[in-house]
Amino acid sequence: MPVFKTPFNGYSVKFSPFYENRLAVATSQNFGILGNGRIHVLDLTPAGPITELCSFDTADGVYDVTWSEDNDNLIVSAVADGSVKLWDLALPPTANPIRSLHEHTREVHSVDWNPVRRDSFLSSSWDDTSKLWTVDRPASVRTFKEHAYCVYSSVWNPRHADIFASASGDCTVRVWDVREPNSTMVLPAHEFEVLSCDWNKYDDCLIATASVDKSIKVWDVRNHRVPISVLNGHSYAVRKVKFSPHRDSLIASCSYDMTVCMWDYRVEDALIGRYDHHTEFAVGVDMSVLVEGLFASTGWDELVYVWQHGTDPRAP
Amino acid sequence: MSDFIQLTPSTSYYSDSDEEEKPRPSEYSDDTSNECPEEDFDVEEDRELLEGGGGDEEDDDEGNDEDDEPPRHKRMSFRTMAENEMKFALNPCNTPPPKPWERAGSSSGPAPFRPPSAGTTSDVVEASGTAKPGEIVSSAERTAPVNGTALSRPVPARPWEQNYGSTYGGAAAGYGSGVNNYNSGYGSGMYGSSYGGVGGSYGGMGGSYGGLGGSYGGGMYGNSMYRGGYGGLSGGSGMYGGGMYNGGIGGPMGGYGMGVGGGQYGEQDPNNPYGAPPSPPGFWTSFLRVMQGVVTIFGRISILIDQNTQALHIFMSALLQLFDRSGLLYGELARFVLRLLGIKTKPRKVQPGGPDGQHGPHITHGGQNYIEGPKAAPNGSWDNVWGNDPTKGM
Repeated sequence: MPVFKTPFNGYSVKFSPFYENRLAVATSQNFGILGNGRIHVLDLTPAGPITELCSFDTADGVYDVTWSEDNDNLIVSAVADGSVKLWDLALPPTANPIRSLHEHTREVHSVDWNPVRRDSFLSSSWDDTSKLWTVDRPASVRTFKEHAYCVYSSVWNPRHADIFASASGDCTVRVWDVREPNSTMVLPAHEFEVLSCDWNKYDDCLIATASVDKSIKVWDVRNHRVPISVLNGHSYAVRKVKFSPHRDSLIASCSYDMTVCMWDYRVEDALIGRYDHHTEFAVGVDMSVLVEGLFASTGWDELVYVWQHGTDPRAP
Repeated sequence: MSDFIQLTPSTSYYSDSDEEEKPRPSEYSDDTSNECPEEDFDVEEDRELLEGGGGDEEDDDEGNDEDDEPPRHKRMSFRTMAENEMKFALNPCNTPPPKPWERAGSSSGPAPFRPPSAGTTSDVVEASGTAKPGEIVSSAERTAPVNGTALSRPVPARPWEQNYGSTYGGAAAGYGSGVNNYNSGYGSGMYGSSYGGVGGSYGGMGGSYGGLGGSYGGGMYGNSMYRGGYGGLSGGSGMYGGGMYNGGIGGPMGGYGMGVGGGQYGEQDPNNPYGAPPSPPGFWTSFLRVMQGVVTIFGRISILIDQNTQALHIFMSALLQLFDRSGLLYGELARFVLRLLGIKTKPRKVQPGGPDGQHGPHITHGGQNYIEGPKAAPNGSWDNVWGNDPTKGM
C-alpha cells in the first residue's frame, strides 16, 4: 500500500468519516519541539500513490487533528501554541483557518469530535484542562479542570452524546458527563502517565488506556477496581490506543518502540499483529470507519502509511 | 446556527451557481450516483471504490484557478453549509455514513450513565447549569486541589513551571529560585525563571544581576531593597553590602523589568500599581521572548521525556557514547559545563611548540598559553614562503 512523505514529523493521522479514501495528517517541525506545523489532507488513489488534496500551515506544531462529523470539509486541529484551529477544505489556504480558538494556556494535545451529537468537539491540553466547544460559538462552552497534570487525550463515548473520558499525566483517567459539574468517575489506571484512552465502540462501558508503563489496560467502568485485561508487548511507552470500529475486541496501538500493534484483548495471546514499518517513534494510528481492516499510521520518520490489515505496509 | 455566517470569513466561496444543486459527499466518490453514503454504504463497494473506482477525478484539478469551475465537492464551502443549514438539516447526506457499531446491538449491560439528553450540546450543557463559556484557567487555579480525589502517586512538577533559573544557576547562585517563587505568585513563572537563568549563566556577575532581578521584583512590589539584598547575597560578589548597593542601582533597571512584565501580564497582575506601563526597550522585550521560548522548548522536551523516559535514556547513552568516541571524555564535559557556569578551571597547557622552535612539553612564555603555538619555522621564516628567499640569492 502507498506511503506519503511529509516534510515535518508526523504526529497524528485520522480517516475522514465521510470519504473512505481521505485522511488528514497533523505534522510538526523538529519533532514538535520548535518550529512550524502543517496539516495535510490526503487522498488515496486506486492502485496509485497517495496524493495531497491540500495542506494548511501553522506557526507552531500541530499535535492532533479531527474531522467534523457534521461537515465533510471541516477539520479541527490541536496546535502547540495553545490554539484550536478550524479549517475549511473548500476554501483556499489563504482563507484559512476559518477560526482560531485561543483559550488553552498551554499546548493543545488532542481534539475529538462528538460522533453522536455531531455538533461539538473536545480539546485537551497541557494546561491540565479539557474544553468543550461547539461550532456555533466563538468561545468554549465548558472547561473540565480536575486533572492535576497534562491532559493528553479526551475521547467521546461513541454511544452516548454526553459522556467522554480524559487521559492525563496524573496517572488517572476520568469519565465525565458534560451535564455534571465534576467528573463522574476516576480511574487510577496506571502507575505512570496515561497517554491515551479510547472507548469500545460496541460496549460503551469499556475503556482502553495506554501508558508510559508500556502496557495497555482494558477497563469496565462498572467495576474499575481491576482491569479486564492487561496487554503487554510494547517495549516503550504506548502513545495511542484505539478500539476497532468494526470488531469489538480488536485494539490498535502505536508506541515509542516504533511499532504499531494489533491486539485482541479477549484471547490469551492478545498480540495478534505487529508492524515495524516505522523507523522512528510511531505516534499516530487510525482505523478506517468505512473500510474494514484499513489502517493508517504516522510517526517521527515523516512517513504516513496506509495499509490493509495483514499486508505489509511497506509493500509497494 | 446563524452564528455560522458571522464566524465564517466572507472570502471566496463557490455557491452562486450551486444553490439548486445539493452538493453531496457521495458525488465525490461516485459521480454517476445520486445516492447518499448511507444508502450505498457497503464494505464491498467501498473496497471497489478504493481500489478501482472513482474518486480521483479531482486529482488533475490543481490549484484554485478562478476560471476553472471547481470540482463539485470543493464548491461546498463552510459558508454555504451555513446558508443551506435548513436544507442540509433535512438532507441526511450532511451526516457521515452510519458507524458500523450503530447497527450493532447494545452493550453488555446497563451503563452507569444518565441517559443522554435531547437537544444541542450547548443547550444541554446550559440546561444543566454547568456551562462556563470562555473560561480561561490560570496556573494558580490549576494547582488548586481538585474534587478531593486522591491521585495514585505524587504529581510531577510541570516542566514549564520548574525552576530553570535555579537549575542553571544552581552551582553559582541560588537567587533564581527566589525570583521564580516570587513570580509564580502572579501566575507566570516564565520571566522569573528567565532572570534566574541569566543570573546562573553569568554566575560571576551574580551580584549585578541580582540587582536586576531585585529591581524587577522591586518594581512590581515596591520593595527593591529586599530583592537587591537577596541578589547581592547570593551573587557572591558583593556580600551583604553588595546587595544593598545593587538594590540602589536596581532602580532604573527596575523600570525595564516593570515595563516588560507589565506589558505582557499587566491586565492579569493585581499587584501592578502602574496600570499600563510604558513600552519596554526592544532589547529586553526580545530577550525575554527568547528566554520564554527557551522555557517553552524545555517544557516540551520535558513532556516528551515524561512520555518516554526509557527512550530518552537511550538517547542520552548514545550521546555520551558519541562524546566518548569523539574524544571528549567526561572530564572535558564537566570542565565545559563548569566553564559555562563561569567557573574557571585550570587551562590545559598544551603547547606543541614554542615560537622559538623549542619543543618542550610545558614551556610558558610570560604567562601566555598558546593552544596552538605558531609553527616553528625553518631558517628564514616566512620569507621563503613565496620562493624568494633572500638567503638563496635569487
